[in-house]
Amino acid sequence: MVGEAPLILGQEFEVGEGKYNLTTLKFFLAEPTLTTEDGSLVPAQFVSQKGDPTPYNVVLVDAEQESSLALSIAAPPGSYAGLTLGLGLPAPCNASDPTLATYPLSLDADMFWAWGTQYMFQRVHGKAWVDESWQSLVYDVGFDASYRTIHLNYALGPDSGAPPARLAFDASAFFDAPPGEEILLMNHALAPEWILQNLATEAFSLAPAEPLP
Amino acid sequence: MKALGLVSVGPGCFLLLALLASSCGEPEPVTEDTWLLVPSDFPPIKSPEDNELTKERAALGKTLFFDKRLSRDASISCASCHLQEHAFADPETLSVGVQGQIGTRNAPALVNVAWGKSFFWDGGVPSLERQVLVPIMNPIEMDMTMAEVEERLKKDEKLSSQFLEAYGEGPSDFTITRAIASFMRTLVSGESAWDRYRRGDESALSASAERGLALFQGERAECFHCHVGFNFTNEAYRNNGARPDDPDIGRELLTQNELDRGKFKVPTLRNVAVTAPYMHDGSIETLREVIEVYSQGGRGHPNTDPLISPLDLTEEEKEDLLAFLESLTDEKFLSDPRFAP
Repeated sequence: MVGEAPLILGQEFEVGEGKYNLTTLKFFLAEPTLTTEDGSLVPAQFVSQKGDPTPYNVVLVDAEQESSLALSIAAPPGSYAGLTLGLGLPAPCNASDPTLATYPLSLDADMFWAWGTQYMFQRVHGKAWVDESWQSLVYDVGFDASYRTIHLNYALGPDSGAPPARLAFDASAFFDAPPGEEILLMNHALAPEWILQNLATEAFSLAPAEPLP
Repeated sequence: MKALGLVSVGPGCFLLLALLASSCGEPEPVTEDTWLLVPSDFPPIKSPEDNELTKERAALGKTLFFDKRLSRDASISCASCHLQEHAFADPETLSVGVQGQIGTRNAPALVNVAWGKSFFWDGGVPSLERQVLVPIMNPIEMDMTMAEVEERLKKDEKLSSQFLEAYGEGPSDFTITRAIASFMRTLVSGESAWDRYRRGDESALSASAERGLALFQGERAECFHCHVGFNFTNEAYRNNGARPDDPDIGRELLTQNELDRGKFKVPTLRNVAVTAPYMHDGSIETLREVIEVYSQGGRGHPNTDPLISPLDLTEEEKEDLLAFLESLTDEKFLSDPRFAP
């Protein structure tokens, strides 16, 4: 999503006064944890559509790969009040040897960072309209210090009575700079703090699953 | 007095070991069958469980080290920036990648990396195997994907059979990285004048170099605090204050800790006389100038290590230190045909 509209790769969209067109949007989610009504935490597991545990308990969300957009989480039956997700890779995963790892930590996931020998947590590529022309936009960031957790309050689980949830991601988080901050066209290495803050607090939301507009 | 011996791995290995007891100080000749020579007073080489060091793997790695197909336009190989006559360092200030792209750092020497605990100037890589990926995949170095390298190499039947012999499987990101790492582990240097001296040949060092050694190991110059051990490095990260306006934050990029700003890995000093230019950015052209910077106590980087302080070395002391550092050159290593294409 971008705001209330669907994000479509290759199509222009606006955030504030800026105009953008993305060709790549990929990011890791990790360590799902559910919160019970009394506030206790229950570790959960990403699973494939067949129900198999996802390697490393990590998923790579890739806007180009439709299959990556359907996330399933397995947890003990019950009623839960919220979901916590890791945004990026936990340190042990980030230190993996990609020549030994399986997808999504293998080289073919194209998230390995040649110059840092760790992984990129988020990759956003495309163009930004700057000074009356389209200019390349590259946002490849990672490092352990960029790992964040997202807390989403929402009734989940078969006992909650709530319908399956849709996890929405608003790509505006990358471009909605607070006053005094700039949108950098080339962002290699560490993410600006304001983007991490946007990603952790505003970009993700859970809502009842409905057909996409 | 410490006995000298070389542990040679190859045919006749056991015979050689038996000879060591009675032939101290006599290096064994390198023969066609000798593919790994490790001084007996060096620690043993440890290789990872998934990459036991063998002659076949090292030979394959050497082939790949000189293979320009590892770069996008087949214009450069590992050896383009790691030149044997410079102890596998790069005489260019900043190393140059495909299509003339200039990097941000000077390619470090590859000397005794088998004992390294981390790699690259910021120590961002924990194994030789993983470091292989970096220059190959970096867009400003060789600019390839491992899948593309694999595809190219698979077309080479002779090379593919070399892979099979070495690893029981063809080219892959796993075998390519393991093979090159294996070759790099064989880049052992331990036959400098300094080595001969410490093994008992008192004539190996000049009087000036001996005085330089005393300075190096004493509290006057204090070099040994960081450049310590058989490989002259504590494998730690230090800011030597050599470049106050350095835009490269070094180790901080990895740790995100401001205390690590401008810290880089303490390099080995073996063969240092032939690895100019110096520092992570090749910003100091001569070894004499390096000594000058240390004598001044660095150049004022705000995060300069507390161990760096003005030494006010005399001209004679600087010459003596230089003579000692030059005694660390291992001429055999620089022209050893085992490391040549």
